[in-house]
Amino acid sequence: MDISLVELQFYFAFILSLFLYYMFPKTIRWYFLVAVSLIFLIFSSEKYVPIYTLLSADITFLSTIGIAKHRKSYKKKVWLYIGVIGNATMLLVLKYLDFFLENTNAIARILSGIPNLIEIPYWAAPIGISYYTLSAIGYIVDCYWGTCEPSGNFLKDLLYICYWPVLTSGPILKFADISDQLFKEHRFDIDRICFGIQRMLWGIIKKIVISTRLGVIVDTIYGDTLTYDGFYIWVAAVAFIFQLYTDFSGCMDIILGASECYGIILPENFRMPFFSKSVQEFWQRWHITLGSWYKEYILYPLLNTKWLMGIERKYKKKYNRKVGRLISSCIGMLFVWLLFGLWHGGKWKFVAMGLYFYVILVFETITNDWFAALWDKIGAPTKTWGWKLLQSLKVFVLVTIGNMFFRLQNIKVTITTWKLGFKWNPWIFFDDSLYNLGLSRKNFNLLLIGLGILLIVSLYKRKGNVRGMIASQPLPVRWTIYLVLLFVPIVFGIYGSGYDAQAFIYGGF
Amino acid sequence: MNIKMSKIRKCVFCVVVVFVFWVFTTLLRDKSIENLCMIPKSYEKKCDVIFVGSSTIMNDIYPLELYHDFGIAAYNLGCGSQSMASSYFLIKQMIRKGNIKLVVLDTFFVFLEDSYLSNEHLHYVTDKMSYPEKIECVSEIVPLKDRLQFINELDIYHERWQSLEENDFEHHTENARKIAYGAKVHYYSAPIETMGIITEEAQKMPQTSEKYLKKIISLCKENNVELLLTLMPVKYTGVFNGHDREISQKYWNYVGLLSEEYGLDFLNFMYHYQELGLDLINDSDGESHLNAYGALKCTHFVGEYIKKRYDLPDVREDNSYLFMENDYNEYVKFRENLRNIEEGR
Repeated sequence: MDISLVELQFYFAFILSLFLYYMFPKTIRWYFLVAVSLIFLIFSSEKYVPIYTLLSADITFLSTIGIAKHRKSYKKKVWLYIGVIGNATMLLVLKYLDFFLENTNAIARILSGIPNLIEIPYWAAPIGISYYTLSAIGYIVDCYWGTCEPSGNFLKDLLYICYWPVLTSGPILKFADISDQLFKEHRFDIDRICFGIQRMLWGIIKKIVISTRLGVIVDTIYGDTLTYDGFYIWVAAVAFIFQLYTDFSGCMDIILGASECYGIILPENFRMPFFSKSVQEFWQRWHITLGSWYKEYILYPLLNTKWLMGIERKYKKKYNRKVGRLISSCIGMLFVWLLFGLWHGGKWKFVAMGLYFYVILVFETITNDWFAALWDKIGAPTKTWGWKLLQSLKVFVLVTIGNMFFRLQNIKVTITTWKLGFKWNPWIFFDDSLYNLGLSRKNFNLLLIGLGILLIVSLYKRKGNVRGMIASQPLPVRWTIYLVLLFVPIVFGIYGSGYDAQAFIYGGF
Repeated sequence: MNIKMSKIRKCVFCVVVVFVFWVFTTLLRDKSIENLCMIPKSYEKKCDVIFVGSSTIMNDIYPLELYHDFGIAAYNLGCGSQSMASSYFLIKQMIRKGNIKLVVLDTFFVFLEDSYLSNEHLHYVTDKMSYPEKIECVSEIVPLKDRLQFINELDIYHERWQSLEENDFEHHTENARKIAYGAKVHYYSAPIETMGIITEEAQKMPQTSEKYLKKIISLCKENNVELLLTLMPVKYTGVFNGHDREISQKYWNYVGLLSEEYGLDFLNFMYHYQELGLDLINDSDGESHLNAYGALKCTHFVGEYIKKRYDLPDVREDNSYLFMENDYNEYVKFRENLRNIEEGR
């Protein structure tokens, strides 16, 4: 049985859980969250699958305890390896085994002509494995580095691993930052709950009013690229990047809002990414917790390896310090971006996506100073809003093109689609063709209004706290906004009978 | 004081939310099925006879004619594809809410193997159904995944925001169905050559239909309500919407056997349609329904049948039923107007 965050049944269950949560004494509320999370895990996975999550919690608990017990002995490293390899192996086997076996079969087919050398088994992965595995590894490594103390309590570790809002689509947690929140005594605070519910409603609007409608356009165009070529391709690409954003950030709003109702403030995963001036900045604003995790636990340790430090020294001697650092970080980033791509799934298209962004980031890193000097030399108005807008547009175009790997079936299809995009048909923007992409005219207009409101809210967020601003308004205005938040998804959402509630795109990881 | 005010404010907000929810539900509800399967509140306790069943009975029986000719206070609760199961809950509700003396149940739809034909058709019955029968009906016959749309109607009707028109914003209590006391009046005609060959062979009907037919029989018995089973005149051979009427005839004959077993009257027009004096060229709209010309004949026949067999008061003699005289006049005006429109006069 799947649990969808956009179905009414889920909200009944959530409200019930919230009610019971505050019925328990403050000191044991987190125990109740363990129970709810386990129920969520059981109901959203196949029969035996939750065992993997429990196993992961067990490994994490034992290894962190082991590390703490053997602070000054070589066994500390052994426990680190047990924890990291144990968790990583489960992720690799459950999520990437078919990728490895498919490729092994493909190589065998080429070399020996055997059609299927190895039978690919079906192993269901538990919900949120890609998120909680990284959180668990981070926790173990932090204990090893001494930047975090183990909880020493299996149930606490279990809650950290399988806290239900996080299981759906992250964010990736850091034990040191979240443990206080998870286990402290939260008092009932109606204002905080209202804030949480507001955020959830905003997330639902993003998902079922905006994202789902964008999905119809994307599916129509990418489902028949022979008919919908030329500018249609770019319309779909733009629609998809907004679909992905409203879907993922909408899901985050629901998760963070739900968690806020329990009194637990989770880390943000988005910070208005479309206002970025560079692709590097974009990735610091999009899926923030994943980027931070890679930086902290992959990139920095890699740069500190003897191998990369040696390379840095070598090129520092040969050229200068800057070049040495640049070359070593480019090599480190290559690993990071390959893994970043693969995290999205065991498919070569994700590897290609990772490499695409890697190339852009390397280019940005190398040319950053050159361009800065050039703009300075020609007296470009780099402080104006127009210039900033152009920078953001550049980033938007690059990110949109790169994310076509994400949406389309494989690398070949993506490249073919790029090529199809060069057919000349700009009249589609003037002859009502856009109204024939699976959405009625009214739905299309509603989508444009939704995107407009999203832009306004994003612009306001740059200046301050939107929910705080709403709370400070006079009662009639405040109530009107609350009613709009509540009824817009009910009336204008795409859901209900005849609609197969689409899962969140990032819920599959 | 502040805490008290804050609590009051929250309560008021909840009331506003419920009110807005009700407004949207009413606004977005499908108006084409408004007043279907429901008796107006003012008439609920006064109605003696209800007609229940699928579109055949909805098209063929005009309750206000029964009032005018026989003094019977009746209402037609028929609707398209009303299954035995949904009829059961409808009857249960009317027995609880009203003072029903006779239930006339049309058995045309006994050929249905499931509890209902489709969600859309079940909405005809449940949208105006009251609690607790609504919950009972939905939880008993609707699969878990589809239940929500019957409890929260916005779940299915919210997409109507795209097709809202003036009608939706006006308070519409009067419509064709209400004017004709639940009957569907129309003058379209489509000739049929013959009613088909009749067989007397009987065959056990689908289990679900039999189960609910028996439940209806028990329900009426327990509540001392008379039950008259009918089968309205239709073309008795041919395949319609995937249902072979030659097979259905056997089911209808089986209904006859059941009626004998339970000591019920069964007015099966398979064996009586000739007594109606129907003009097959002008009196029906095709193979399943009578038009107004045929319905008037059929209503009169059924009225006489009921009057002879059941002890029902003549409400024309009761001053509290005077409003029906006005309703009858309104209905006649409406019917005549409709005739002029549909026959292009």
